[in-house]
Amino acid sequence: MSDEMKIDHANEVYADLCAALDRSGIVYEKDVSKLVCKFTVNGADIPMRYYISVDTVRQVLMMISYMPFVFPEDKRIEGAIAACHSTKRIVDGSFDLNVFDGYLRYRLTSSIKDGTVTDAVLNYLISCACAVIDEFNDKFNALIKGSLSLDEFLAS
Amino acid sequence: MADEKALLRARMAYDNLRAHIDGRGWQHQDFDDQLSLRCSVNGQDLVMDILLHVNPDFELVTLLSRLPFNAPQELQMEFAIASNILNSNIIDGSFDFNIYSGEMMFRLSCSYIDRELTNGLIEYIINCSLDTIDAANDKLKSLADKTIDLEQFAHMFA
Repeated sequence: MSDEMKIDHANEVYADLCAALDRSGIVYEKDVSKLVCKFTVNGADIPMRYYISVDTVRQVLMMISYMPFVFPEDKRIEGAIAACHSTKRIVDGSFDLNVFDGYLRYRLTSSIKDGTVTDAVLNYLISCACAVIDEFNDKFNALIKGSLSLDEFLAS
Repeated sequence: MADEKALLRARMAYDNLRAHIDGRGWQHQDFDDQLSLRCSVNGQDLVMDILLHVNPDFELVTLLSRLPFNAPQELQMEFAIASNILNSNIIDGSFDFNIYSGEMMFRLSCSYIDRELTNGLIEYIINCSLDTIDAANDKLKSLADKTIDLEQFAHMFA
């Protein structure tokens, strides 16, 4: 695929993403120049802020959600082990702890090759991400606060 | 539980996967009843075993590749950090580290909701996975063999 075709396809996918978000009723912010949409979903305990971007060069859609807390330096080894344990238990996506700054994100990537964002695709992305994050975010937070030990996290 | 339509689509996706692997001339072992197939590929440094699986319930194709070595027990913490360093730097897929067994598995999933599992899409799944594994497996092996330490590993991906 030529660079021009990649740009055209990425723009089409971004337009389809915005249209699907409009139909879903989700309130979102757009950054058309970066092909980015941002929105918040209220989870069972902690609100989830999402960032979806269309990557023109790699032809993928990346959905990222940063947890609204940071692992302090003395908790990052436990955080790394907890992120590994959680990632192994999920079907799609991963928890990535930046061990240098303590930020933890959930990342779900989807190739846009031979496809676009339909209502069903958007529903899959959001429901998958919400289910996974909702299951683990309060536990990560409790691990940071010390109200849950690493052993308890691993057993939960 | 997937309905009949989802199972048919999964079967079509699996057939496309098999045809694609045949087209590459790779030998494969098929597990038709599990919609899975296994094959081996020579990377730049190490052989990569890959398992491709179609999940009818999620309309998802997953590529799994277990690295051919385990982290020693005393390096469990280093490997947990290393997998997070890798996952923070890659676009698609993840290195899943089993903190109990020391196994490291690369996993990349791709949904085929509202689209066919085309040759182009399969090519993306395989090429992206192999490139990502090839870029990291020798460094993880060096970490496991203790020929590099975690700091040196981290510098390679900084």
